[in-house]
Amino acid sequence: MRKEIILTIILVLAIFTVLSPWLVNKAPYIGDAWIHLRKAEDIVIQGRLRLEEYNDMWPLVNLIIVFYSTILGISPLISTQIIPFLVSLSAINLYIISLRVSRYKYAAFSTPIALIFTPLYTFITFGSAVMKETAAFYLTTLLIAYFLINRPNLIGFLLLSFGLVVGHHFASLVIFIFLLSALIEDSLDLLNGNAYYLKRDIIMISIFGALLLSWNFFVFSKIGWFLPISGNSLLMMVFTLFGIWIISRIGRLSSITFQVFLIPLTVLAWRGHLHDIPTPINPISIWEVRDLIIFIIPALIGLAIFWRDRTIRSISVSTTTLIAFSLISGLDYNGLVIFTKSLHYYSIFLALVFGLSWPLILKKRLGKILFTIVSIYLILASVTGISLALNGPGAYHEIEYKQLQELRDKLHEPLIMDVKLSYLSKYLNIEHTTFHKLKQGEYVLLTKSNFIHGILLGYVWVDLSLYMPYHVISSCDRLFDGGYLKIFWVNNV
Amino acid sequence: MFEYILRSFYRGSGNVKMYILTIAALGAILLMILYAPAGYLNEVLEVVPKPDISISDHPPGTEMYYGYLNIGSGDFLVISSRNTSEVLRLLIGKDVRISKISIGCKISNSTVRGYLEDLIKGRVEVLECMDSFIDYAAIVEYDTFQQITGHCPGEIQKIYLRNYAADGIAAPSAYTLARDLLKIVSFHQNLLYASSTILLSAICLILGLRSSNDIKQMLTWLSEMHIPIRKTLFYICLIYLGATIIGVFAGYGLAHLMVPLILIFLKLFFKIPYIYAGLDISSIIVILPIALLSLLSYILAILWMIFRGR
Repeated sequence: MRKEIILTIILVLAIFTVLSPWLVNKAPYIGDAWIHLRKAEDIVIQGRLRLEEYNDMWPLVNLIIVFYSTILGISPLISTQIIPFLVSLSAINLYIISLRVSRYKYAAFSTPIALIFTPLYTFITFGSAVMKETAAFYLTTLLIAYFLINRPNLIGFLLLSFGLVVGHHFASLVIFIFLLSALIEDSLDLLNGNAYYLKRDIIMISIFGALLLSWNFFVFSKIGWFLPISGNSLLMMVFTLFGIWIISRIGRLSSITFQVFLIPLTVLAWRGHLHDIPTPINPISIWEVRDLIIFIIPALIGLAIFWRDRTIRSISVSTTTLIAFSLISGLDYNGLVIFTKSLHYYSIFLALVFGLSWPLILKKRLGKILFTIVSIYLILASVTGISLALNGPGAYHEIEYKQLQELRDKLHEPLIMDVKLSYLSKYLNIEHTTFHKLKQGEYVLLTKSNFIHGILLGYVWVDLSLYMPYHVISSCDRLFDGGYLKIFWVNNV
Repeated sequence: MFEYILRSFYRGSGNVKMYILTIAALGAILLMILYAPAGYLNEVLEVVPKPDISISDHPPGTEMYYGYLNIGSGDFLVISSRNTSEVLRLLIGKDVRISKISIGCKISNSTVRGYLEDLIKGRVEVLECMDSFIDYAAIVEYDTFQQITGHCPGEIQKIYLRNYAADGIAAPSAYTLARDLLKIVSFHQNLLYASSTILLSAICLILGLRSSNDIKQMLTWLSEMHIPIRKTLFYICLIYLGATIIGVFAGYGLAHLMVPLILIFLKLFFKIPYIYAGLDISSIIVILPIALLSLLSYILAILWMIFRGR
């Protein structure tokens, strides 16, 4: 009974964490939400699914929104939140994986806590978003958990695999590399006279690989190459996998040493210190470094203990391969895109090994007290991440949506705006262009975050003063000022 | 039978696993030492603008006048030609639009600008910063140059710039420096290649000899099973050839992973510009002879053990 209560508390924490941007701001998080909302509304209106451009090609997210909107009778805008809700259910999958590997309930409890409150803040910043990747996240963790079952139902595996393959290509790639790593481990087990999992794993990878190949080949035939799937990058990924696998096989020390070097690089890259792309994230503070150390030391202990475990090694190899590949593939725009996608899966690995360290620590004196302190500490330390999601550059607010909706019919000229606002404008059918050198007589739409964080141009953030220095703003006519949203008429450039 | 031999060789000292890891780890180190610096310099050569010039006192070439003239309060480098845009293209390696009289960005706020504007009764253009000596120089058309030299004292030199040729003196630049460094590195590459081949072969020989007890045991088992020695040897060679290929690929993968990561660390700690210098796939071919030589050493050691045992 106690176990169920703790698990329920963890689940409630997960739900509130990922839904916090919606609960506080009353608007979806990250611009992609508006794209998928529009797609879902189109499906509802037209009554059919169209596979025409990039955002249609992995339709799981759009279909989930439509499904819940239809069966619950709620608006698609509200039903977008089913995506973060599904992400929160990943906590149960992490619990299952950890329990299965360690057979220790404290390890199983601390793994989802580590994922939800990771000092990398990936769970809130990624899980709260309505994206293809997020829609596939629950299935990714579920497939890993399903893989651990001794006699998995192949029909069930087929359905889960199909769901993931049409969910997102990168999540599918993570699972494919995971299955491949497991297969390599099985082949080596065969040489040791243990062929228990080999046949099962060959069947699983064949099913998954066939689905992955066929769907992505179909996508390729429709839209051509898409990031990071290209001949060259796949070849690079294979060699990175080779390299990571060798490091993991050399020994425990090499695995840990590699992670000791990779984790700081990952943190620096995540906080905008590594890539040659301007990001609006604040530089990492000394307090955050402390939080990370408290998180990473147990994680490395966990890796050291469970280094030989085939599941942990496969998760380690697959997630590390992608994060290392993202870093070595370049510190430019493409590298950053792949990096942010990879990081969310890398945090699963870190959360798992963090949780797996507790069987050892709890055996020591004061182990349980330490466990409680660290768990509470992680929850408190995640405040920075939560505030980043609530007021950060990716957050939308209800007032922005409402005001722009009201203004829609009054706007007869195209508005100049950044990419963040353009997602919302595209959803509301407002004519717009992205930022360029301003000319007299043009209309500019700015929101509060443009003044705080700057202007988003693709993945690049630039200061507002680059396009609109103070003297330009002060000389503009302010046509609308609604607290968050402002419309300017350019007077004098 | 193949599986049985493979399983036997997977365990014990000097086993296949150890062999693959040795080939991979040493192959990776070798690749990193041999090709990473050269790869980096090669990438630098791609990135750095190529001045591609030589300097001579005699024609042919683009005539260039230069000198340190006392302008206003101090001496400043003044460059002139009848074709200033061509001179600038040769000096900095890219086309820059210039006016009749232009000055570098670092001296735009000095008294030079005002002095020159007063002198020519016209506007002086400020060039964009180029992180080179041009940022501290004035570039003027030939007729204006004559006007300036009439008022400002200083010694004038005349040289001819032309595209790089064997004669003349190559102008020192980041490009020529990187190119010369690459030559030095290439020389060291050959030395390293030879020494590392010997090293890797010796390691594999020792590894092969270490596995003597296992092999003796194996041969005893196989003879009890009436498996001909020739067949055993064939399978052993096949297993280790496969292991060599896996080791080579894994070694390349390791090197391919480590080189950019090390470069990222160099960027972080020493501010060395990060230029992606991932190893080219063709470098696998270069380590294949070393790996095959190592394989040969290993097989030789095993053969020696077998025949000594008989």
